Formats: sequence, C-alpha cells, structure tokens
Amino acid sequence: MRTLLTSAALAVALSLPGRAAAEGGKPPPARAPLEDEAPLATPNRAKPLDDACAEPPPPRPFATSALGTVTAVIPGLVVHGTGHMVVGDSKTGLRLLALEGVGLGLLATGFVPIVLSGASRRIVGPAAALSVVGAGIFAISFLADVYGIVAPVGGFGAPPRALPILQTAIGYRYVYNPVFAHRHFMVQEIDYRTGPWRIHPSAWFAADDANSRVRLHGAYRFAGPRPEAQPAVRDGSFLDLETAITRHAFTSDRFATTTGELALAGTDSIWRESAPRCADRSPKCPSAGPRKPVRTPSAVPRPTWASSLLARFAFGMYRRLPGSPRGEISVIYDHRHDDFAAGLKVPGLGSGVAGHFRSRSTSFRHRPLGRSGGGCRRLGLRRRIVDSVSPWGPAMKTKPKPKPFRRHPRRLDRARAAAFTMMFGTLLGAPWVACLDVAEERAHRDETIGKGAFGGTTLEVVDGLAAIQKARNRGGLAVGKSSFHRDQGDAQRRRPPDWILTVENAFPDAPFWKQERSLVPWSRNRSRAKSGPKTMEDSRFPAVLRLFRFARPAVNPSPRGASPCSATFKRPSIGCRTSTRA
Amino acid sequence: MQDIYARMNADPSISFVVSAGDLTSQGTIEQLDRFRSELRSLQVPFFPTLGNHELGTEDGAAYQRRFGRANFRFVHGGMQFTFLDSASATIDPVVLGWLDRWLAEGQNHTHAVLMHIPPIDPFGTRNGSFASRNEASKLLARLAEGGRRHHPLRAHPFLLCVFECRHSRLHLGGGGAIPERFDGIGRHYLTVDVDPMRGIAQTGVVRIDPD
Repeated sequence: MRTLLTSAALAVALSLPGRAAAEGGKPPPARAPLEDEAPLATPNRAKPLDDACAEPPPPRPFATSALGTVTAVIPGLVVHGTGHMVVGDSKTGLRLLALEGVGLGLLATGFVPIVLSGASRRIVGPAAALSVVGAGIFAISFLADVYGIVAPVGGFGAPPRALPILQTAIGYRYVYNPVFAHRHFMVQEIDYRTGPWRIHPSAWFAADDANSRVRLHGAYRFAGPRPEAQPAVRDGSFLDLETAITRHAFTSDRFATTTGELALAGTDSIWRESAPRCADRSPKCPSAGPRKPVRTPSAVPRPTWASSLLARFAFGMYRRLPGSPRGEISVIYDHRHDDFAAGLKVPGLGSGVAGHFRSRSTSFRHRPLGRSGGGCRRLGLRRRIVDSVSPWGPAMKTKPKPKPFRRHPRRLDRARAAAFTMMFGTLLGAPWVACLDVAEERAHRDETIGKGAFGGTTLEVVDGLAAIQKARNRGGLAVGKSSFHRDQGDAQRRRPPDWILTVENAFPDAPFWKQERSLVPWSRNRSRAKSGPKTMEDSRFPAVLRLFRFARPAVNPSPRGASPCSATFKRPSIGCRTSTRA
Repeated sequence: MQDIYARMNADPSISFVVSAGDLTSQGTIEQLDRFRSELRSLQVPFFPTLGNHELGTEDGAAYQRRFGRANFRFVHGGMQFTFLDSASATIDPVVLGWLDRWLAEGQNHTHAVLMHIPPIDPFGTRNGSFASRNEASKLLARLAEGGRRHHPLRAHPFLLCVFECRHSRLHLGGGGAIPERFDGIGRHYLTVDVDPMRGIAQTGVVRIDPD
C-alpha cells in the first residue's frame, strides 16, 4: 500500500494595502486568508489593547505548563479541558468540557440514526451534517485545550482586523491521484475586495496534461474585517454569503464538470473573554486579563444545487516564532468530494463517505519584493506587513520588532517552541499521509488468481470468475470454482493419464474447448467413476457442476517451450487454458 | 439466504445470479465460508464481486481466495457482463486499463457493468459513492463513450432506483450489510430481463420481507 502526498502547494502572495494604510499613512493591514482556507475563528478581544495594558501577564511556571500540556493530551483526549483545569483555569476547562459534550451530542444525534436506518435517504442529509458539525466541535475542543496550554500568553499571533484590497498569488502545486495523469499545476489567483464585496477568480493549469480548472468565487460580507478604513473590528470573526462556479476540464480524459455553489461561511470564537480580570497592577487594566487566542473553526454545512453536502471546519493559528517567518497554520477537514483532493480513501470498510483533511501554511517574508512604501494600490510585499498581527503590541504597530519570546524565560521559550513544533507538525503532517492506491493490491491479486502449475502443466483462467482454488497432490490442479484431477486409473495402466476438470458454478451448457476442439462433458450431474478420484458429490451442486475429461497434454519438445495444448472455456463465464511447459 | 435461494430456484426464468457485493457483514473467513456453504443450494450459477464489507479481513484476500477475481468479465447470451471492484470507493488504474480493453472487445455487445459502490449516489448528501466525483465522472465518461448501451449496476446504499446518467442507465439494487430503512423496500432481489439487442428490457423486484 503506497502512502503518498496528496498535494503540496507553494505560493507567493502579493498584497496591496487597504485604504487605511494608504490614506492615513498607517501601516498596512494584515493579510486576509485566501479563499481556499477554511474560515477560521479568531481570538477574541473585547477591545483593542490599551497601552497601559500592553504588557502581557507573567507566563505560567514551566512545571505547571508542562504538566498542563501532558494532561491536555492524556487524559485530555477523552476529557477535554483537562489541561486548563490542571493549570488552574477551571472555568475555561469546564467550558471546553461542555463543548466536548455538545460535540459528542451532535455527533451521536447525527450518526446513530444513520447507522440504525442504513443511511436512509430520508434522513441522511441533516444527519450527516450534524455528524460533521459534531465531529468538528469535538476535535476543536480538544485542540483548543492543547493550544491554550502550549501557546504563550497572548498566543502565537493575532488575527487581521483589516484586509488588503487586492491580493494576487501565483504558484506551483503538485497533485497526485493515480487515476489521473496530471501532476504539476501552475496556479494563479486574484482576490479583490471592495467594501463588503469580494471577488476571487482562480485558475489551475496542468503543465503535464490537458487539464484546467477555472473558478470564480464571490462573496458578500455581512460582518467582519473589511479593507476600508473603519473602526477596528472586535476580532476576526466574520459572516459571508458565498457563491462560486467552477469549470474543471479533464480534456485528456474527455469530460468536464461544472459545479455551482451557494454557501454561508463564517467564523466565530467558541468563547468570549470572561469578565476582565485585573489581578495585577493597574485598575486601568480592563482588558489585560488572560486571553485565549484560540482560532476556532466554523462548521458550516454548505448545501449546493449539486446535491452535495459541503461542510468544513478547521483549527489554526497565527504563528510567529523567533527566527521564523510569520504566517498562519491551519488544519482543515473538508467534506467536499469534487476537488483535487476528494473523499478519504482508507483500507477496509470506510472509504468514500468522509471528506478529506488538509493542512495549510502560509509564510510572509520580510524582504520586500518590488517597491514598498506609503503608496497605495501598488503591488508589492510590504515590509512587516504582518506586524499588526503581533499580539505583543498594539494593532497596526509598525516600528518595533517584537520579540515576545525573549520576554519569557529562555527555557520556557524552548519548551513552548518544541511543543508548538510537535503539535502542529503532527497536525500538518497527518493529512499528507493519504492512502490513494487502496484497491491496488486486490487488482494485483486478480492478475495472479487463476494461474497455477502442476507437474509441468500450467493452467490459466483466461476469463471469467474462475480462479485456481486447490490442488490435488496426486493428480490435480484446481481452478477457482473448478478442480482439475488426473485420472488414477489411467495412471495405473501406465499410459499418459487423462485430466479431469471439475468446474463448479458453471452454466449447464458451458462448453470446454481444447485445441480448437470442443470436448464433450465427461460427466454431468452424476457421481464420479469408480476408478476416478474421489471428489465432491454432484448432488451438492446439482445444476452447476461440470466435469470434463481429456488426455493429458504431451510435453512439448520445443526448446522455446511453446504451449502444445490449450483448453479454454469460450463461454459463458469460466475459461481456462492449459499448457505444458517443456 | 435460503428463503431467497428457494424463491430463485422456483423461478425457471432465472438463468444466473449476479451480486455486487456485501455478501457478509465483516468479510471474516467464517462468514465467507458460511455464505459459500449456503450458496450450494442455489441451482443456478452465481457471480459476485466484492463489496466494502468483504474488506474487513485481509483487505479482501480471503474473499478472492474463495470466490475468485474481484474484476472480471464474461459474455453470455450475446451480452457482456463486467464486474468491477469499487469496494474502496474507487477503481484502481490497473483495472481501468482492463476495462478499456474489455469495452473495446465488447463493442458489439450490450454491456452490463456491475460494481459495489456506484460512481455517483443520487442522494448526494449521503455520498454513498466514489470518493472522488472526478474519478466517477471519468468512469462514466468511459462507459458512455463506447457507443453501445452500458448498464452499471450496483448495490452499496441499499436502495432501489433507476436513473439516467451520462447516457448510461444506472440500476441500483438492494444490498445485504445494513438494509436501508424507510424506503418501503425490505429484503428483495431484482430480476433483470436482458435482450442482447435492446439491452436491459425490464427490471422487476421480488420482495422477500417487508421493510
């Protein structure tokens, strides 16, 4: 079983800053997620950071944090929120536990009826949607617990609160699907926003095959970050009405598909910050309480007129580790089955129904490409374009290079960096291991089934269901639902013994051809001759048992070993060919 | 199964039986042997391919040792019958190569194609179909290209309906692992009258148990 990479992507994004940066000379807004990303909930901030409260609270002690991390996994995998409870944040822990209960409840409400009803067409739609949502919430509550413990106070990053007007991307993607010939794609995307409207065309062109996918995606944003200058939104939560039309041409395979979509997509945090806690210094510190910068996924079922259940949820975070580029990481479950990566293929019973997992990581290099500066509507990578996502400074902060980890004990930094790497390395790596050739071994077995050899004679099932099934030591080959025996009586008379082919599960009029000559059935629906080998009783297969007797093929003296004998069932369903090896 | 076999044996118009899989619930050796043992009372040939419930043991190897190939074809009565292994919600590329050859060789025959998991599920929210819609479209496009009528038959979502898809008529029959409820159809089997010239002439339902 080969396990292979489903797809890998590398893209460079170019962003045009929003009007806020252009008109006010303020730093550029943070980058918005590309459309392909699942909507991600963002950390909640009741209000922008107050300067007086910019200092994060002291980090947890290392031992407490390490113990919380371990318990967030074991037994946190079963009892979500354990990590937070261990480090003393019982309120958050209980919320996560409640969220787990909600997830399990939805999962049971959806999945149990599916099982009991045999996936009845009358209930499967809403039941499947509930199952997906429940599974997503269950996964989220676990990951949120781990993240809340592993991440430093303030998290690894913060969401964008304003969006660029224009983003473009061009890149390369590798797609492996053994059923199709295409592998290498050039991808182009443009993402343009004006006010609440968004238009996002994209195109994929295969470099090694006649395959192309063109997609036009549009959206209207009811709430959430926009590119215009406006008061900062509370967080990155949004609600979009989306529509898309996709034309995918498989020219080399001589077909094409057109898909329309209508979707409601949104993100929200699964918890709001609790009442401001100002445990330390200043009464002016209403928002300096513990923040849980967990980006929570949404699970929005997106029914379309294509009669497919589309739902996706994700868990991700903004990241910024010392010495590494800034960006985003997310792990996504996508229930759709019509993309390059489609349904999950697994060995065993469960292929087909579930969607796929994928991971997405974006990085922003600080080195500018093209001109940067105060001009607006200019393509180019801005220096420190993601400064505004830093949680350790006021939003839209431009000047300093925040070094958040240096503020913590070095040992804690290393531990958290290691935990971060392990956690998201696992999350990112898991979806890349996909079983794509799940039926390959069975197909290869089909090639060997129906072939066998005995005493220098080979027998091959040419067509049909028959396969070599058993061999008799003193005279036999057996094929599939047929068995092949040497007549012992002939052997005792010291002349070339005859072969007797016993065919089970055959049509009553099934002829057997040997060397272009039809053989008359030697026995049909009766017991074997006294001198013959003992076989199964005909009465057990009264209408489907066939017996044929013919002379054993002579050994071919040809050095090349050409088959001197062939015998074949021409019809109806069982055919075999015998040949004798020199 | 004996009540079903008895009904089949009593019908002289049935010349053979085909199955699109899910002969057992888990595909264990005991279940496969029991199925084969019970099959001995059937007085007409029985040609199956495997379903996803036969993959529970050795990924179908136990099934193949007992019943033979998962992918094969034969011609009977002027009609070609092709069995494909779609138990993993996909068709292996090797098998697609065989299918091309079989389609070419059977150009002069009406063609019945049997597989367990269908390329598409008419109830899309269930998606009891291929894992990839693109792979499904590729298979259906190939079947539609032959110029002759192709009749894919499958059984996975345990329902019964007939609909047109890419010029191929898809017949969906009942399955055996977890029967679908609330569909008004209990245990049953389909009778299909085939005409080499006209293809599938008529399809009937023989109900064994009510829903």
